[in-house]
Amino acid sequence: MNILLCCSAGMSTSLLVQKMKKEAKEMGMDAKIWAVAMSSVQQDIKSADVLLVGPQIRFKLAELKKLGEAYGIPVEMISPTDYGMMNGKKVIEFALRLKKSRC
Amino acid sequence: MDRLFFIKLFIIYFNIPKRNMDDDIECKINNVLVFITCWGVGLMKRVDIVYEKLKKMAQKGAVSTIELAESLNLNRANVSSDLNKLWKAELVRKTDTRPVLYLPFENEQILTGEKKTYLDKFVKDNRSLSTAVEQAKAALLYPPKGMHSLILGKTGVGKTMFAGMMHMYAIEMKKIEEDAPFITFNCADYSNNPQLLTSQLFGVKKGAYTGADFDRIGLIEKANGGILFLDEVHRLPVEGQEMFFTFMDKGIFRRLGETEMERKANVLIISATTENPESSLLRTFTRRIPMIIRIPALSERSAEERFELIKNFFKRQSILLKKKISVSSNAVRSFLSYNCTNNIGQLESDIKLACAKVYADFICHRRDNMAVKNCDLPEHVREALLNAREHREKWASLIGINNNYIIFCPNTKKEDVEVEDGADNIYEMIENKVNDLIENGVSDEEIEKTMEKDIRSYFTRYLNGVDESGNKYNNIIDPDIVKLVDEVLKYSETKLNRIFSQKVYLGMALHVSNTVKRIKMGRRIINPHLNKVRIKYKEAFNVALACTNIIERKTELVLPIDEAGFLTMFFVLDEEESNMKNDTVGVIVIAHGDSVATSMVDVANKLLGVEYAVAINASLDLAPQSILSKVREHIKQSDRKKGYIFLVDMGSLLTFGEVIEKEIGIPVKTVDFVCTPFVIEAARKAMLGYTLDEIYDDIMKITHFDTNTEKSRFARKKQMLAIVTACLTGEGSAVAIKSLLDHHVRIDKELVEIIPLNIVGKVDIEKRIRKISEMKKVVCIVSPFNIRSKIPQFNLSDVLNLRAIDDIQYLVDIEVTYLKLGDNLKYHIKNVDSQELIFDIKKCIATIEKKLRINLDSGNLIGIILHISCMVDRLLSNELRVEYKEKDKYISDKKELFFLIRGSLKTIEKKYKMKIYADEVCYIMNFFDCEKQ
Repeated sequence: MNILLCCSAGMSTSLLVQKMKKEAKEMGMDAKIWAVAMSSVQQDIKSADVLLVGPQIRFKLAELKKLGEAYGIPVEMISPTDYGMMNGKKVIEFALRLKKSRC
Repeated sequence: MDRLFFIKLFIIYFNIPKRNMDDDIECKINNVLVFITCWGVGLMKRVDIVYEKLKKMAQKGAVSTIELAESLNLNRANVSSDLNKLWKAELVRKTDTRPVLYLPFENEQILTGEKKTYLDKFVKDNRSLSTAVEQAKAALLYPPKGMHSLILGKTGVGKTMFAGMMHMYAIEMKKIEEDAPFITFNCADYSNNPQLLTSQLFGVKKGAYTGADFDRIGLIEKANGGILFLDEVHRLPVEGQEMFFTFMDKGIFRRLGETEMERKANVLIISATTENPESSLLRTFTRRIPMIIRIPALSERSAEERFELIKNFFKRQSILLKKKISVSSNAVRSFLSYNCTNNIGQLESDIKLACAKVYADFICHRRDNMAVKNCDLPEHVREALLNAREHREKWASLIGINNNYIIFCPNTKKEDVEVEDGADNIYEMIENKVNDLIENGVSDEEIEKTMEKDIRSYFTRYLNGVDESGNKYNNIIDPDIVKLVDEVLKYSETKLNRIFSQKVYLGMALHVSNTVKRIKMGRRIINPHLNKVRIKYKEAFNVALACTNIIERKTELVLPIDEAGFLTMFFVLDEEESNMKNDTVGVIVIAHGDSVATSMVDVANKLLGVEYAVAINASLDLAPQSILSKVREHIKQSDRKKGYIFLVDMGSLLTFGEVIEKEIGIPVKTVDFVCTPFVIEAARKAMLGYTLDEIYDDIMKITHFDTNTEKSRFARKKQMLAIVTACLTGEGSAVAIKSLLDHHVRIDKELVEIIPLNIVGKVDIEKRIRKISEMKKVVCIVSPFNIRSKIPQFNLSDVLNLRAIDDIQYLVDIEVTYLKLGDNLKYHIKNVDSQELIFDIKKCIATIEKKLRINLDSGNLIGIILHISCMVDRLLSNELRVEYKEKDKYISDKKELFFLIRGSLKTIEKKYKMKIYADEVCYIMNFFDCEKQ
């Protein structure tokens, strides 16, 4: 499972990524989780199964969803609550749900 | 700052040289004292001193500011500001060296004999256009005939005017004839009709088309030998372009319909556009135009320049209306800081609008002078006064703090803007205040109440502000008045059987000299507080009344009974004061470091000339408890019943106030930021008998854009969020909904309060919700009908059948997360205290939101705050820098936003001692960029 996170500079989501990685380990999940800046999504989306977007760039969501469609992967915004709480577990569960709904 | 404070500062400056006084210095002191007496023209005097000294010293060569300041024993900053004034007045000349050296112009002119052109004069008041001016000069002087140029700039920056000045310059420099034409043409006028446009530009041959009955000459021919100014050149239609380019390249053209004859014209073209020069048309155009002159937008120009512009425009209005116009300093402040999107053009029209409004009132006899106050300005302008706190320092340096009005007269020169001295005497203060209150619809009773406080504090200030040992005042008050007051007080002392302190003597002398001046000028004296005084202090009042008689006899003036009321206050307050030592608010500075607090306090106390503020150093190796006990000890010793204001820097010190207040039961307020000016301000106000709340509020006004956030910081443990449930049927059902929500929504009761409201009327409920919103963040409203508000609302029935519960939960969660962000990040932010950082960021974002007039929802904010806090942490740990692609283009497209955001981030940069790079600013801009949203 490859989870790609994206925010404007790829820096604030990386905090969340750390938490998610830890969580994934505990769940015994084999996942690649990484964060990028808006500008490199084009490149990284190719290797992602799901793309999660930070709430601060909500305005880019529509654009990214289109991009996701082109690559056939789900794109959603991370709930602001989970984002602010840095709730890695919930975000992973969210990613899993998204992927499942696609399959 | 009031006038006495200034006097004190001067005396401090001159105490030093007094010890080894020589003639020169004595003469200077006299000069300054003269300056104090004729306050109105005050500053000119120091300028004169500086100018005279410079002339003397410059005989041996150019002089630096420091040399001058040292030899005059004046503050370097003051000397520097005077030199600048002199330079503006073209009395002195600066060198380009570092440090800058000054020479009086008289010497200089003989040396160079250079004549100032209009453009040179212009650039003086418009520093940020200096590049543009240099470019313009270069374009015009370029041999042999000058270069075509393109002026870029947003709407209203003054492109047309600039082109006009270029024309004048070309004439002044004899590049073109004295009567060379200056033809302007706006391409937008004909952009729909290319043929008409071409015919306008190039002229028409008879018979070229139906209706062309005779040869007509075009603008290019008309401009021959001069300048053709093409505005909005991006609207030049394709059809016209080719012909025009040929003309630009070779100087030849044909009239419409002509085939054989080639005409020649010698025309310098200045074009202008608001468009991005990278656009397709302009690129073909810019290729042919080597000189591109950019005129900055108003927002990019300095406050000084803007101030000059404002003064000019008011001046212009005063000439047009042939009336003296006075402009309140608040109005000037608004004009200085409002968001003027259409630049100088808009600035001028807004000023016109304000003048017109006042003029209308004036000729309808609704007011008897042309005084432009803040409330007369267009709404978008006057709002700025409330919003922009960060300009305060700028304002103060430009307008002065005490000046109430700036006056523009039609018959003086532009430079002679008079600055009328502000409310330094009680009459002005009362008149202004009362008028203000009346205008705001305050009842008479209220006015009397407010004024009672003001009058009292005015006198307290008078008394306390006067130095006990201040015999120097003999020099600044008319000796006759001194004698008169002497007599009056001797009489009063026997009558009241008391000895007055020196302060009363000096305070009353100053006061009476004001009174006499005012009556001589035929101005009224009103004491709204008269009746109370008369009843409350019967004895003192009777004596005061007799005193007015003495004054009347001596001065041959008629004093109204109101004046007796004022004099009474001197007697009364002096008595009260001698009974109440320690009856002022204590100022305690507590800061981390071995001597940080001490050094600030030392400076403040020295400047104020009194040991007032107290420093407590929080050495890093001391435990907070032992610092606290130091504070405790001091408070027990000093024992001020009116309370203390703590100025602290950070961390645990913030909590001291609360602890002390609880322990000792004396009110304490804490200001969570400290620097020397605040210490001065706090100590000064405290000395003058301001109350704790007043001092606190005033300081907060300087530090914070909004005191509410301050409150929220300390209230953070209390309930800060609210859900409002409203019901028509009475409070009963609102309460029922409350319990339903309690039951179904997971709510942290510490943070969220559910407030049941009983609706009496719709307006009423809106008002009540607004009131609640001032105290708490209202997450949502549950109500049977729509309420006019931006707060999310849920219909009663949706809540009753539990359909809305999930949505409410979602909203609550977001708000709670937003509040708790600091806690959540505790382990993620490495370099600084996360609570504090988040608080600062929230403050900063709120400023940005306010300036942009947008409101982001909490969900958005969470992301943004996270981003910024991570950024701060990242920059502090010197981790890799991020890059923003096409940053330069983005910045140049969104200049205003860029500067606004960068400016707002300054507080964070300062506090955390780091630099936020342009790339980072760009990322943050993204969040606020409305076009992207």
